[in-house]
Amino acid sequence: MPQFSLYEEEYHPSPLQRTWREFTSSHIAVLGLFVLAIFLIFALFAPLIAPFNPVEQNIDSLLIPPSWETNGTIAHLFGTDALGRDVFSRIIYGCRVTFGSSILLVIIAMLIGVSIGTFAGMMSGVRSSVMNHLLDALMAIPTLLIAIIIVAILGTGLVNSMWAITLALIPQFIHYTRSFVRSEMKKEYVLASKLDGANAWQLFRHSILPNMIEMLVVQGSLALSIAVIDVSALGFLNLGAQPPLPELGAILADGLDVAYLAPWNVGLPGLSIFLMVLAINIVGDGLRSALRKRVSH
Amino acid sequence: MNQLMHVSKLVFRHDQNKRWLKKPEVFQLGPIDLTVNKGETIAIIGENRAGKSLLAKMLVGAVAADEGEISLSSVRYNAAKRRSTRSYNASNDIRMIFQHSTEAMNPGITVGMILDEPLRLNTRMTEKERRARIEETLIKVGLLRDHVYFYRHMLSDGQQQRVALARALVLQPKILVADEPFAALDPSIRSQTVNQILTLQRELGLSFIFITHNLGVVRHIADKVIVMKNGRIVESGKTETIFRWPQHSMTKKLILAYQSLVPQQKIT
Repeated sequence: MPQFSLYEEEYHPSPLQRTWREFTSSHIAVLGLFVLAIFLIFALFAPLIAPFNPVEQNIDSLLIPPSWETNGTIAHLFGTDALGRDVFSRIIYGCRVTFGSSILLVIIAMLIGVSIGTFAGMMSGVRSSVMNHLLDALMAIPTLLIAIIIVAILGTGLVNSMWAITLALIPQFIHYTRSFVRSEMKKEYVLASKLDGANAWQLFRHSILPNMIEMLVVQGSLALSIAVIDVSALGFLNLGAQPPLPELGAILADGLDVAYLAPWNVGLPGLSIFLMVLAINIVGDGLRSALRKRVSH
Repeated sequence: MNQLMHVSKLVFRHDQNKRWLKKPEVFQLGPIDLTVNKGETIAIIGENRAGKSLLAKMLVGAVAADEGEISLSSVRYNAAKRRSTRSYNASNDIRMIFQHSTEAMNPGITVGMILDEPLRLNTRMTEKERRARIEETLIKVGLLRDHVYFYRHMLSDGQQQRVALARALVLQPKILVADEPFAALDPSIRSQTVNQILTLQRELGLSFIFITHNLGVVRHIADKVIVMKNGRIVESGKTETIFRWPQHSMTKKLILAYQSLVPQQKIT
């Protein structure tokens, strides 16, 4: 028994605050988060930010250069394309389509993959193996090929390409989750919880999930950058989003026709894809090291 | 003395004859008979691979036995037919401290949540009552209320040991089983923990079964000693008797090895 009656500490930072403190100690990660936040704002509030309708064609202002060129106007910040559409508005809406659909499909893939992986990790024997290798065949085929097959059956479109990418992402989540849950199930604290009478769900929710967050962040950010690249690649190949829909890859493909006349039509959407993927990776990396530091020192 | 727990003819067989190109490894534990009285301290000693840890795990129900019967606070259990650990352990009268307290603590959640889990799963206490019980238990094992918010990496080895002890005590058991609780601790922390356990034993009337290699601690705190070899109990009895008049060759070796370190005592 302590012989002193000590005052209790008044303030205990929550896990979230601790992670945030670790995260902000890396300046590059914060910069990445800033860029990512801009893209997220673009995705959420595109109609409020975009100055023009992204699909509205204007015959009077074809191929106007960006505003920093001598003959550009400030009305069209990033210039216009061959049909007179404002490139800035198109990129903002493009972020919405590309980034938004990528986030959506990563969340779906993660939910499905993690639940199957957890079942596989907690079971044993043949059932576990069957669960684990359920979608392995899809891993052997590149996303683009799966997309082409799905497109051949169902027709082109953004939704179909999203299905293809989701299917391609699920097996990785299954594998990582299963091996993680497996190694976790052998630890003594899981045995201790089992002795307390925890059932499988309680075991997962209270003992395994808190430790899995780091793995989920790493795999999630990796999957998100793959999804962004794949969605825009399929758009570029005309298999994904169809031309009137402003999708970054499709915008890039549109601009390719006039690449020599108006290089900003290719350069700016390309740059935004690049920045998006870079920011996702930097934030994912920063978040991972922050989460690791939170439980190690 | 009133009898708290009685184990009769507990047997565990380990046979892996399914593997090819390998001799079937035969290991049999038991049959083991054991009686635990209220407030008694029992030490289990023996060489490595003697089945000490396995016995401890079987006593708390982490590993199912093949044969035998355990009666705990006058309820009889068939140790062999036990399907889940829950049915046996539902009375919360027996709790275990694991060999490595570091590994027995979940690094992803706070000490408060670690201690909350057994209460949440096994009692019908409200959140406030659970919180009060957790704080009370933390103070009992010599930690502070603030440690509720701490994570594993913020605690030293000795504090982790105390958390493990708190986790076992939080359900107010009658028997505590510990697997080498003092192995990883330095002498001063070890004596602190030993004194802690002795104090708790006096206060709560706990029975304490522990496995150790440290005969000094055994002599200091144990009432009874069990010597194991190759899965069998080769000798058991009162601590003083075993230390003064060891019968089995295994026990003699162990005691001699201990007494060569403490030269002033001799076997009479």
